[in-house]
Amino acid sequence: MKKINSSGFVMAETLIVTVFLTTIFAMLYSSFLPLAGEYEKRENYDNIDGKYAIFWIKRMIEDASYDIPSTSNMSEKGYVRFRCSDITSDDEKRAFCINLVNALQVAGCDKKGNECDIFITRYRLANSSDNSRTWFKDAVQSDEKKFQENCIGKSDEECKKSYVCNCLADKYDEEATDDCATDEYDVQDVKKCSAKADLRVFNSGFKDYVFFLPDYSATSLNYANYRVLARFQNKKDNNNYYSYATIEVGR
Amino acid sequence: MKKLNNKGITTIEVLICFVLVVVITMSIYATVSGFNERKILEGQKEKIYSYKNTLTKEIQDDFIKKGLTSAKYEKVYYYYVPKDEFSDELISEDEYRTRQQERQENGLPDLQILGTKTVHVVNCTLKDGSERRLEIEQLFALSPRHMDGSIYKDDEFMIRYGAPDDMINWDLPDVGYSGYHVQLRKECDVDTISNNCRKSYDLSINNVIINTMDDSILSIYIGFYHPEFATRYAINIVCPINYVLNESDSSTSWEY
Repeated sequence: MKKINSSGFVMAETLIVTVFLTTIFAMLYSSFLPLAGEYEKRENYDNIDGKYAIFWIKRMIEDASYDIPSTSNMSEKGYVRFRCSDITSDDEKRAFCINLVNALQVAGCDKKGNECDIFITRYRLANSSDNSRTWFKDAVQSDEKKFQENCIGKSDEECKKSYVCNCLADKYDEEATDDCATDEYDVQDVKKCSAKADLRVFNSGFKDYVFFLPDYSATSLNYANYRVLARFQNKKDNNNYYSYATIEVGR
Repeated sequence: MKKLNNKGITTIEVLICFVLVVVITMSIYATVSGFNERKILEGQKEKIYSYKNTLTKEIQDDFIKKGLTSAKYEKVYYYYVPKDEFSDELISEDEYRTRQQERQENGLPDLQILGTKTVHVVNCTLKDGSERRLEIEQLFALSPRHMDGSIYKDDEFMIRYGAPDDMINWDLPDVGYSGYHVQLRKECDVDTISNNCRKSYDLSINNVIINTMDDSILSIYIGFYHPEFATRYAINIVCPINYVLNESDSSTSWEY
């Protein structure tokens, strides 16, 4: 009769198996834990405040008083930044626009309502089978700096100079210009404008939101050709968090 | 036949195994109990979201579908003062000033304030001529200055919305209660919460900011305070007043 090995496990074997199992469970736990954080982040995507806020932004874009910017950003870069100063024909609506973007707590707005994080894009955000145009997700992926945003067909150096000059002109309430003598301005102001020029157009939170969104490959039921995306900075009551929203635009 | 190993395990081995099992159980318990607490908080968050979303939709539906043509905001104060030795009463700010003046003229000490009640009222007119009223009531018992949310059982908060003759009470959601027992009315038993006694739960209306920005934009901010979420949740309504959309024709569009 064959002898049965009945000596059982030794302590070392038990310990090795225990450590092995613990390691596997720890790895599993650490890979599932970020999902909770991801969920908390998504609480601020398209929430009710953001949806109503973006609705009113959409109404301003659809208003005839808003002039379509003449830049070729939409075809070249896949987006156009919404600016209150593009409402040229109606002073009352322009003033209203500045008040509204402030009331809606849109992030990044300057006193003229021009640097707001409101981006108008094509209805569809990405199309992997069409490389002839730049789609919004490609633009976000390219990680452009602010001075490159409205600069097409120029060198980076020229673009940066133009951005800094316009920034200084805005600071000193002068007429916008692409060329200026920066040494005539306060060094600190030049430094600030230069640092601002090097900031990214889309920060990491906005990128996460855009890549969370679908491509919207199906046609809009309302035949909308465009879409608007915005970032809001909630600062009331000692809060400081960002929320994001999108809606289609029928213009 | 070979003898079986029937020595058993030593005391040291048993102890080591026991310690290992205890350590593993403790770590699992801490994780599971953390998730349990999280589940409770998520449930409370859901209640707050549900309340906020439903009320926001109710108000915005009126403003957007019917159109907001005008909005007027006023803030009214009331004070709880002692009526006699055993009870107190709620009087308006004007009545308080009158009584205070009378007491000063008669050389009596200042009228004691037991609590303040602030009512924020927004009267809105819609394009179809109908009216809507929003009332936000904050009653801070025994704490006229109240910066960090309600901690008193006697505090009371209420939001009312609807046509002026048909207002609907929007009771704040019940998301737990951990307040101190503070007796405001003498007839209230300290350890019981009867219908006659005001009570508050962990969620309170902490901050109300309303403005009409030169009659062009109505902005309503109703900030909540909760011991776990602090001031993270709020009702935030922004709506243009008398906004007229100039329809654009399809010829003005971006190059695609």
